[in-house]
Amino acid sequence: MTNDVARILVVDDELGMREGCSKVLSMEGFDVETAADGLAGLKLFWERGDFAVALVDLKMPGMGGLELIEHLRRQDEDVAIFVITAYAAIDTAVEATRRGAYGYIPKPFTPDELLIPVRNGLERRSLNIEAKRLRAERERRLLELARERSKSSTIINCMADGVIVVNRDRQIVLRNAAATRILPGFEQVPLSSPLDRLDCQELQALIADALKEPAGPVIASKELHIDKSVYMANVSPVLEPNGESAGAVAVLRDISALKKLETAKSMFISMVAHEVKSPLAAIEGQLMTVLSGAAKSDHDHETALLERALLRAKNLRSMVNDLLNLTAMETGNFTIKRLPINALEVVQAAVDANREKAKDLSIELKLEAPPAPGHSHILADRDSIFLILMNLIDNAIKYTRPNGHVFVSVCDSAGFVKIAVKDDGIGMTQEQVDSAFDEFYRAKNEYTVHIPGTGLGLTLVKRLTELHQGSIKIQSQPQQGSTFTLTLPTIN
Amino acid sequence: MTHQPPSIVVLDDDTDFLDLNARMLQRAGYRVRTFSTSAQAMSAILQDPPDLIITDLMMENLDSGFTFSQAVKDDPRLKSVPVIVITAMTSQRGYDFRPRTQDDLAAMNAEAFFEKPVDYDKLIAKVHEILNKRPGELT
Repeated sequence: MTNDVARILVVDDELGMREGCSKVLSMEGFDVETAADGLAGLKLFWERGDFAVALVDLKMPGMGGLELIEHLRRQDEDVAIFVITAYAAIDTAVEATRRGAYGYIPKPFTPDELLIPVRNGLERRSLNIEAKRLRAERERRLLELARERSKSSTIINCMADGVIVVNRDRQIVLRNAAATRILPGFEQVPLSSPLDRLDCQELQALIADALKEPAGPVIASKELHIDKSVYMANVSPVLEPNGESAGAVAVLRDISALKKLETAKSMFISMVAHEVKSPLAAIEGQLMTVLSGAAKSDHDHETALLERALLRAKNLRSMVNDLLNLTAMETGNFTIKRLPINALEVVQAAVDANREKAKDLSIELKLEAPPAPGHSHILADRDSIFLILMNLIDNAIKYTRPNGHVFVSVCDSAGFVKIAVKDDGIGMTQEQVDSAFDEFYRAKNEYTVHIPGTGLGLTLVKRLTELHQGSIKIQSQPQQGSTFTLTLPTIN
Repeated sequence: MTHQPPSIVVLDDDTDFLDLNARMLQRAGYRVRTFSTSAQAMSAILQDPPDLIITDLMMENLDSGFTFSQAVKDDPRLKSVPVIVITAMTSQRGYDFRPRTQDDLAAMNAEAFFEKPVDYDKLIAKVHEILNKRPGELT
């Protein structure tokens, strides 16, 4: 508290009284101001406003004491007001107190009779102020707490994970919206219900474990299957500062999507394993046969076995390459450098690269491109486009019988370049077309068993095409042939 | 009456295995017919049932070998023909389906189960055993 000298206002129409009070109080160290009537007193109070005590005469001309008291009280609810009056009567005193006076001092009075109530008043006033400050503080804290609680409950309610809190008496004391959604019938279970109302035995058991004393700061985790979904339940004890159990909190996280991904991944891995193991087993078998001398008598057969082993090894290596590329694309580590390139030029190069093979297999390979230079420029990674075309042309040759035809064509149409690879080979059924881009899918029938392939070429083609904002379509009829059409956006 | 060596049908979509298996079995004196799809094999064995069938498991799809072996068992003309299963794939989605007991083998209608690459000494010994220790004429 500041050292401030308490200021006292004396309002009385009698000069003698004003001076007397002034003198007594000043001698005690108070700072005294006086006014001769109600209005003047009120004015002083307004202007200065920091009076701790007001001594007010009741009978004054103009604004009377009672009216002044009411005004003062309205101005300042802490000021200690005393009535000084010669007409000390119980009813005036009561009226004055009703209007906000602390008490009254009957005239005439000795200096002590004035000082004692003034001091008492000052003390009461400072107690009042302190009490008020404490009350305000408490209210502010309560408000903050309420705000904090509503904030955390909003946060908990907005969480996608289900949250359930159980107290040490095994009552459910908190649950969020997600928890009510996850657990069947939980909405109908009121708060404070016993834990056994939870319709999930495994979760009940986990929570019951977390409530056991002595509790450690251990989080128990378990996968729960609830209503076709899979949840990861994490249950941990809630401890008091002294280490005693206060309850337990369970958090349920939906991991169904993760589980599906996990299944897809393990299926993919077992597929890869099979695709790798088969050729390795074949190579091993071929080499073992040669080493065992079983084919010694037939030199041509021995050579054939070794050649086949080499072919399988090469094929395996290109499969691993494709796999690495696909994985790189999926993890975003596959960088393509997109530059303006002439689509026609890349098509020409890919066709040229396949000429020899087509000739060996007696297949006519032809590029049908109406030369329209400058129109088929695309923003693309040349190596990727070349790889796409090599795959498509290579497939067309592989799946076409001798004396068949493979036609590659390039044409522009409204902002796109269409590259078509058409063959009159063995073709595909609708079912085979639908799966053609799947990993490791290879159309299997009597015509295809001798055709080597990784089963990843078209998967790679599709991913690369998508990386270039392009599309790829298949039209095919069994025994009629297939047409793969690659559409890529051109540069305007 | 001339003694005909036993006839074996080998089914595998991997032509290298077909080739190897056929040669090794022929060396052991058996008559061998090879097929790369179960449809071809089925129509051939229905016309002329062999003494033994050796099939791969994963061909056109994951379980075409199982399906084929079941179809053999379900056909009254073929159900007495013993089947040997050979596969490179021994597990799927974490489930190891290698047979451990006779019951497991019976469930896949197989007399014996081999993993690729095949140990041909063991395979041929098994073939001899199944064909009632009736080896073909060794060349």
